[in-house]
Amino acid sequence: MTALPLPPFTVTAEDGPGTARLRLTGDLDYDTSGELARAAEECLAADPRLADLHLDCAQLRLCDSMGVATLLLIHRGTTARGVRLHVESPPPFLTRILDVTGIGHLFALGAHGQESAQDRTDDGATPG
Amino acid sequence: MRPAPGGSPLMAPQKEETATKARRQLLPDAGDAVLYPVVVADRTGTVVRVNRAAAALLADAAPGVGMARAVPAWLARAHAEAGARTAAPEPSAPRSSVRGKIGELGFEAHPTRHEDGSIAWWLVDDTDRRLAEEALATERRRTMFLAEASNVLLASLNAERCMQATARLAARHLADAAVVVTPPDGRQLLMTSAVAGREPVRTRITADPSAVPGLGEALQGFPPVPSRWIDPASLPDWMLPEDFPGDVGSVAVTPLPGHGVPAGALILLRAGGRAEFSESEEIFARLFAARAGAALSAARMYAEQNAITQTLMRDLLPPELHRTNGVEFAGGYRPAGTRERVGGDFYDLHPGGTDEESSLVVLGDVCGKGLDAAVLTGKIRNTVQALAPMAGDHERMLQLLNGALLTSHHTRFATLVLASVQREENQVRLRLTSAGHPAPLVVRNDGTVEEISTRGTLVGALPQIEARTVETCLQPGETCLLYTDGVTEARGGPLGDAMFGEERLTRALSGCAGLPGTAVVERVQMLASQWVGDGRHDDMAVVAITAPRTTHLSAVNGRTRGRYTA
Repeated sequence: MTALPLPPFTVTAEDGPGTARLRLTGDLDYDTSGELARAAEECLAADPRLADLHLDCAQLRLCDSMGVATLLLIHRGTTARGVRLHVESPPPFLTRILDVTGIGHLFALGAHGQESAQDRTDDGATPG
Repeated sequence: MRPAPGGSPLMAPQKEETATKARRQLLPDAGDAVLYPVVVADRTGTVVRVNRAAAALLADAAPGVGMARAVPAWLARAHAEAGARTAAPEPSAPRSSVRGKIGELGFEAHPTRHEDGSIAWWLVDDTDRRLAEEALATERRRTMFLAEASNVLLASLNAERCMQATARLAARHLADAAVVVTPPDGRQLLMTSAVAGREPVRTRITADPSAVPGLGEALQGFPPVPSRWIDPASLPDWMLPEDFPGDVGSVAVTPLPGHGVPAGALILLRAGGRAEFSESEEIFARLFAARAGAALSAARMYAEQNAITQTLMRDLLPPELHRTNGVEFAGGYRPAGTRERVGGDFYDLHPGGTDEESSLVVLGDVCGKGLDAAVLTGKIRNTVQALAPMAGDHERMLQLLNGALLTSHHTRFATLVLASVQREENQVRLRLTSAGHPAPLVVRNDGTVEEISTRGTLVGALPQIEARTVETCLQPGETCLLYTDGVTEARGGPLGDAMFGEERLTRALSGCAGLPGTAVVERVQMLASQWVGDGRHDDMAVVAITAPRTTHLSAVNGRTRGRYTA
């Protein structure tokens, strides 16, 4: 596969009735995580009746600690508004990060399409 | 090709002759009608003819007078030089004109050679052009100076050197001496003064800046007062550079504007007898001051930032580890490439009060980088130290730490691993708890590498956390390795983009069986560094806890249970 010069990070929003989906591509890191936080904040502010916020991570290439902090920040925002936060199609590295950091249970890890939830070893942590 | 007879092949000889004839005829008859002053002198340097305009311009010029007396030296010299060339084979060859001054006016003299060897000098007034050229040259010199000043000033982020460069440049190009004064720090004034051609001198004195007219205002960033309002006699002695030549004739005080806050003031001094500062010079000095102020301000801000980073670094650098309470501890820390950034990895050892109390090791990784990460790191290390006596219950300790770190305005978190370490006989007992951190690895003597199955939630972001503590035991020679993900996530390798990964780490460790802790730490650091090569990497921190190799000494006195050599 030829490595095309991809933009470092993009967020694309799609709205449906009562649900919003953000499609993330590229590297979610120290420099780009602010963009995701803003996009999620806009989704939450745009629709007061929003019930589900989906983060489609299928095209995510990297997620560093600031990326994780941003996911936690979005989770804090959705929890306060009673919105369910779904992390969809997490690539193996993301599943691993969420697993090691013990926060996987916070995100309704949804399989999007054919991809199933990774071989997640649940440590029995209950949603907080 | 043979030249045409009587002339050059490119020029029709008849025509040239006609033109010369025409001009010669013009002079005696119509010479007075010509507006340009014309002086005709012969081969011997004697004036032959002078038209009216030339007579009006050159009082001594009259037929029969020597050129040396009749015209200024530059023209007489040009005539003599041209005369020396009369023997040249082609009198029609174009002659170059010469320039010089007659009285206050500038002239260009264009020679026309006659067949008899005499030369007519046509004088064209070019005073205005000359003035324009001079003004242009001045502007060019100023632009060049400003460009040079910018280069010199921005070359250094050292405030002291920046002040020296400002004083030196200003003294050399704008005045006879220059003094750079920084805004007062308490009651002290920091001054750097330079006399043209000498090295700047730095002084710190206790003085009131308002003693110098306009200085107090300039230091606050107010626009400068015109130089002519400042009486040089009113300058206090402390302001004058020691080696200033003679009396001060004129003074200009200009603020050095910084980024938002004034960076200081520039005082220009000229000796008595020299021209005072003109308005255009004052404006120019302000242009220079703007550059100097910006450079000085940047240098000072950098110095401040650097000092902050230094202070933090000093406090945040991990401690040196060594054998404590009968257990070998070794640590290694490699900060991320960018020097001025405080890293987010840390480790600490809190030794137990006695050999019977367990020691607590904490190794962690704080999310983000820079000042925010540094502040959080400091907070965590202090809190863990305060909570160290509670190390009997790691989960409780982590919950208290989590509560202390939780804030409503961000979700910056930390992952860490706690290890309570206790020497028992020749073994080392370990209680290990991960809070969202990569699990510790234990290198057994037979080369197997065991991942300790402790799990937990990261701290600092969620209201509730959980953690599971796992116990294990190290036989002499066995090592438990705590590490941050900077090691496993180091990108590099043959293709440059592969992660070092846990598998490679595990394989490397299995080759370290039986090695002392320091060697294990060095080996892991070396492999990770080699993997990364010249590439970027995150902080990497590694701590090895090793049960020392011992030899059992059987009871010496028959009553005690015996000792170990280490």
